[in-house]
Amino acid sequence: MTSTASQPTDAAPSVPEHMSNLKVRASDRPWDQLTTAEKLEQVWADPPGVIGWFKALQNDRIGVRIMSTAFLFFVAGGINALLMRVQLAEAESTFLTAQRYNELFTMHGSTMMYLFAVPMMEGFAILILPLILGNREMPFPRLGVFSWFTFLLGGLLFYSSFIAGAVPDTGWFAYAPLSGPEYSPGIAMDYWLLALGVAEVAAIAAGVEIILAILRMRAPGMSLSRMPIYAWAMLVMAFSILFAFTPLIVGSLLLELDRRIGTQFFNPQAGGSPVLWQHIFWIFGHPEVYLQFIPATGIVSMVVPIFSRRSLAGYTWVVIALVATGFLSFGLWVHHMFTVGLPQISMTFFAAAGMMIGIPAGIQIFAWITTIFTGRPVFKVPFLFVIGFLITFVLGGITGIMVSAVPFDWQVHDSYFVVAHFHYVLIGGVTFPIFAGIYHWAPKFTGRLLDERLGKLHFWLYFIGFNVAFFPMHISGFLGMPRRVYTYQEEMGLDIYNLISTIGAFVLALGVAVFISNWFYSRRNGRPAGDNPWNGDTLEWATTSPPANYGFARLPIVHSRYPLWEQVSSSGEVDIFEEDHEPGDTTNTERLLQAMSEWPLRWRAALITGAVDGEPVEIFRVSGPSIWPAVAGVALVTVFGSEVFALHWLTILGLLVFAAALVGWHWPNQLPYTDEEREFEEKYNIPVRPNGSLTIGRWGMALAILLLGIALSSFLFSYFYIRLENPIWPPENLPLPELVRPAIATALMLLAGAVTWWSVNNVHKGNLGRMRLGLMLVFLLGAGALGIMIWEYLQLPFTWQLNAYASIFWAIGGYMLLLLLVALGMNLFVQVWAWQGLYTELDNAAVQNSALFVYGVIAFWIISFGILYLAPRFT
Amino acid sequence: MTTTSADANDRAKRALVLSVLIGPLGWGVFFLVGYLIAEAACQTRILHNSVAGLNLVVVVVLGLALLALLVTGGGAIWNYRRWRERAWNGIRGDRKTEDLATFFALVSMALNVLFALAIVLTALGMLFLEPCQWT
Repeated sequence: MTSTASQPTDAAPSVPEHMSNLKVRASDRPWDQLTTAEKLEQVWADPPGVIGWFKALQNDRIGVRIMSTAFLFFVAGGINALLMRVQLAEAESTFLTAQRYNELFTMHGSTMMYLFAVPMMEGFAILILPLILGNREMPFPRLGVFSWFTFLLGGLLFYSSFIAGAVPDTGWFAYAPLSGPEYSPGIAMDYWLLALGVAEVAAIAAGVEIILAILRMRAPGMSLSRMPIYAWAMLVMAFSILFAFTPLIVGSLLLELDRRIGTQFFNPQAGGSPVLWQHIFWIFGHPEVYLQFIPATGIVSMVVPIFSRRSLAGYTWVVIALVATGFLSFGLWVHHMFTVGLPQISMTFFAAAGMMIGIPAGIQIFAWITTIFTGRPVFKVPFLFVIGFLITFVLGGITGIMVSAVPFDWQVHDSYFVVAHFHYVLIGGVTFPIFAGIYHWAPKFTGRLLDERLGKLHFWLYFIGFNVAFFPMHISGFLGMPRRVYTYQEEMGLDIYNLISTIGAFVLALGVAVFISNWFYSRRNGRPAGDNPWNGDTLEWATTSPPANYGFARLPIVHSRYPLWEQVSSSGEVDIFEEDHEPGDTTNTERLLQAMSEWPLRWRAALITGAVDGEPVEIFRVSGPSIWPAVAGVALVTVFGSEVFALHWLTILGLLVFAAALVGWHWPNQLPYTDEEREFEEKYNIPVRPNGSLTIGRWGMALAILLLGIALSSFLFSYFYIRLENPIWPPENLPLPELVRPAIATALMLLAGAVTWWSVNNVHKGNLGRMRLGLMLVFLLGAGALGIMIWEYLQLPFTWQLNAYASIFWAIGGYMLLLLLVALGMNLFVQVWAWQGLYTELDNAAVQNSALFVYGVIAFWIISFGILYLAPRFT
Repeated sequence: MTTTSADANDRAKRALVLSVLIGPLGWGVFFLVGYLIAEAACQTRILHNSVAGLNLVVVVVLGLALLALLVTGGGAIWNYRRWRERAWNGIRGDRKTEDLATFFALVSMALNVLFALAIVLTALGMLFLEPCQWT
């Protein structure tokens, strides 16, 4: 069948009966009497009851939970902002004390940056990606559950600082030395570091899941060149999360170690540097802005074509812009440090990158404007929010280019001009698209449209309130109003601008209140949405509203960027089940997907496709409901939370429970590999993996190794930075590190790598005895290396408290020993299962994944060994 | 599909993805290495001699910029040729693969040009500023 329509028609093409998903409730009828759709519904359903609530892992449920939690934090952060605006409404106000004001701007910034925008975007992705991509679930649904519990409890832990009377007060950036042990004694900063640290783990967990879903779980035929822009944006965002959040976690760890056990990373009197904190923080902090903005543009690129009733102008150029923005955003961090005191040559790198990033942003804006001007726009509420976004973001973008010029930045640094700039970018560039997305997709998941009149009221209050609140800040900033100061003198002449800003902030808040009312009103009284209320073009609109538990019974086939607009038969029906060929033929993919809609019905089957071309690769069992991800989330937050109060016994208990939960989480739940699976494989020429995907497992492990590598890079960056701060290395006449013991440990590690390779080779040949022997040898070699290195560290002539060199030496060594310990733990569990006969020649994903981890650890070990032990001998 | 042609197909797909990364990685390596050299030189007072009126640290970083430009510029030309061959000479062979190849050629070419521009913009400033003057 060929694509006939290049543009959508006004009337939605009719949807054939067989395409609709049947929404059914769990039935009491015997299994044999259920229809195929009912069986699928039951297989994919979450368990009932209270315990079932903790086990539930369906992507739409988890997505909604994450988004709701993020929205609650948005409201909390907004209340903080309103209190600050009341304080600033008049000169020399005594509504808040200086201390309370410091606490509120810290909580406001931290909430919005860590607990609202990124989780909201990730929740969105978990909610809608499987449908947009034309698959049934996310690849690691349990990881989504873990992410939500960790995020929720981490956020609550952060806000419990109000109850403890120890509210963080050093800003959302927590600059050292203000945040260090000398100037911030007490536990307030520990709340900031540990509670937000655990929430960052949640963000990374969700990021991993999003990457794998986009790269390996798309509908057949959905090559990267046909992938919806939203998926491209989420892919860039998710990779950015890995590269941005990991350094922050490492930086937070170093600062916490300075505070708790007396390391010297940020203490200049002992060879450390407070500027190191700024580098690490902004390596995270600047991309953080873009990893909120990029998914927001993804939403805009989905809404604009639908409400302009034409395809997106310059699809390929928008993809180019997204990828370029993702990379360039990591070349901007010193943009925030122009006033720190840097050589001019250093600043040219960042000023140039700051100006360059205007080009991809401009490409996207022109693509949207072209689409709108050449389309036939329909001014519904989602589209109004997009228009609001375009206006406000362009203003924020222009001031962004202004502050990328170093001399201008020196003039306005730390003034309200910068506050105006980043609120235009973050509220204009992020929250407007979020609301557009909610109005756009809510009908798909609730089955009801949000009320249009209330929506328009929401938009106008929000748009007017926002501009009234933040535009005057440009002027007050130029007039010299400093940010992060709790009051100002009357003679400065700033009263009127601040009063206007405060009025605007309350109008904006009223807009949010109208949205909340609209949400609850429309959930009961909203008009039924139907399957495709906006005549959308992407696959989510081909399912029922709300969708069935399984999403798609029969997975769609894609041969267009706009499948519901362009995959239309001559009779006007949408056809997303056939490839692009002459009528009468049936391809293997079509037969496979037809068969997959009827089999298997006893386990949760999803399809893996090629990362580039979207061709079917593997059918695998998606993991089912389990209590362990929730337990792991609670335990991890307990570990971090107990450290706030230095309850080390609780930390150890939490760690033990966390480790046990991980084991429970991954405990094999083997299904027999029966004749049915074998026949299906042979008939459709595709591997069937009822015990988990080899592909997804391998990619997941590769991402885990990438994460650990980014963490190691952050440690090594700190090492080299401290090295530059100390002309003599090692400082204070310390001897060069001892070589013999680390060299022996390295040799053992290399040997362990070789034996691992031998062991994996044997499992491929079906020689399971040799595989088990190999695993045992690897454990012994690794344990030997671990023992030698512990001995080596016990013999060191200095502790971590001596100076910054000693601190980073211990930190990198400790990190490597931790990785080795994890590798040994993993090996041990694989061995236990191997001796129980769990693995076969065909079914041995855990063996291969643990081997991959061993290789990663060995590579990191060699790099660390070279830098810690060999390099000082040559410099 | 035989194993050999499947392997060749996999290699071709990997090449598509890798071609996208040439520009960003060329710029990324220049950016990080150049910045580290500049920071180290200005902190430790190494590379402070002059060559043809230019500070040695500037010469080194400009040399690095030239190398990076060769990579990104070369990547841009190579991808432009791939794109032109497909987009102007019509689609040959399997339509799906060809579509993908055209798409990646255009994406790679544009990214190479964009990051080459970023390198030029960074290098230009160095010709006019006193490199290790602390501000």
